[in-house]
Amino acid sequence: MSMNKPTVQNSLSSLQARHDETLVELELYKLLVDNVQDYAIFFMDTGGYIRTWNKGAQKNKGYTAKEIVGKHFSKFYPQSDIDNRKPDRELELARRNGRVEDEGWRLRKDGSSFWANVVITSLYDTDGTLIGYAKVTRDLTQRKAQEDELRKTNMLLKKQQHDLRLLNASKDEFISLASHQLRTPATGVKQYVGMLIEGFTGELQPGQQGLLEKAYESNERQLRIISDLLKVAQVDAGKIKPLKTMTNIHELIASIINEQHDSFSKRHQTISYIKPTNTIEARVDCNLIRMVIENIINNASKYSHENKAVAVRLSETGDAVCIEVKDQGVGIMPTDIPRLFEKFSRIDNDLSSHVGGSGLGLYWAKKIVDLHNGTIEMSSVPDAGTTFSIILPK
Amino acid sequence: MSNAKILVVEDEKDLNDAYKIILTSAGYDVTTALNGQEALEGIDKDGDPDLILLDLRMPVVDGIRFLEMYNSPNHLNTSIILFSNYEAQAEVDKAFRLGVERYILKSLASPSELLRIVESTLADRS
Repeated sequence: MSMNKPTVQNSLSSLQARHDETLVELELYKLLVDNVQDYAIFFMDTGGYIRTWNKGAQKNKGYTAKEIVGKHFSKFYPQSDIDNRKPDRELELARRNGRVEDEGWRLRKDGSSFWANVVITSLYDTDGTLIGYAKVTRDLTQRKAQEDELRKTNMLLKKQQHDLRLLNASKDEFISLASHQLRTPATGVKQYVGMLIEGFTGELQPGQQGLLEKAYESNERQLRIISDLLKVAQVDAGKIKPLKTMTNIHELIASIINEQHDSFSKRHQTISYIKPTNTIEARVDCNLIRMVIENIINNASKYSHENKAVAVRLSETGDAVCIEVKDQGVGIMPTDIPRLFEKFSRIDNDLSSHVGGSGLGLYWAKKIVDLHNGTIEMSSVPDAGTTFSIILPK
Repeated sequence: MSNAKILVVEDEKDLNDAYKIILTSAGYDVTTALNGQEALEGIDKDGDPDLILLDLRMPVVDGIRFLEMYNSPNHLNTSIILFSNYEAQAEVDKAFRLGVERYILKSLASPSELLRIVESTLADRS
């Protein structure tokens, strides 16, 4: 019986064992906190006076335990924060809400600043009485520097982007203004040379007519380049907004071809059109698409020799229309194809010096087709011919 | 109607002169002005022309301001052709609302084309 009866001795032994366990546990916690290097962890009393100090705190803030224990934690704050009563407000917030977290500049012993992430947690005893605060501080200076650097780079990029946009707009504006200015004198030349050629001042001597016609044609070429520059400046500036209406594409092509017959005849070339059997319509800006088709047909003629034919065919798939322009011209070398739709691209061939284009027509045409969510495809065999296909969604 | 009265309103002196020579050679009675203000003064003095060849961008009083001041509904016997080198769609649309009948890009019209345009505009009128 005596074996089962609790004795004072037994109770004392049990208490002692529990006490020892608690001591070991406390010792482990102390070791843990003391040796954490990356976090400053310390205890402050209810007034904000420092009571404990770990290795992380020493490493972080530069003070030894001897130097700092008993001092007020506001020592770590810059003067401006102290003037604003930030330390007191943080303790007040921690007391009211249980914890407070903050990021900001703090001071080391040597007066240098570091960017800190701070958590202050209020601590209570078993009766619920506030006994002080645990403060955990992390040095995030490096991260802060990286973030600041990133922000700075971002701002710089944004500024550069803005500057580039302004520069681009002023370039477009300049091209537009310069082109308009150039148009006026060229229009004057057109009128005066035109008057001579058209006999307003009587008949010209033999030879004069031909020379003046060359001057007139040269001026016409200049006017065409000016027009192309203006069109490109407008499309680059985003000023072209297609006015899309349901358009009968067959009628559009027929009308273009009708207007082109004379110029084809003059070049001793033919143009044929393979009509669809049904009505083909698409939602397009008919003026812009007319100019695109004219441009492709004109190129087909200009880059073909005499006695060649150009064939235009209109077809449709379920949701798109395809306008195909096939010539028997000089063709395009495979190496030149990637440059074809670039600005000012001049592809050298038998006829390029004779044609004297601006190198802007196809660039503009592609931009216009892009604005219709369409595509321009091409295939070419040098010395045999080129086929351009304009594909536009219905 | 080759004796029709035509007023050329064009600030570029060389072009103004060229249009005068071209139209005069076809028998038209041509007067000229270098801006909208001069044009309005000329109309006050000489009365309405049969046709006005009007530039858009001009100093002092430009084409649009001229049209606003001229108030074409009060001058139904005068046709107005807008003759500009600026493809400014908004201004052209406004000009049409203010009574312009045709718009021609100057750089596209040769002397004989100019005469054709003038002739057909006058023919439409009569």
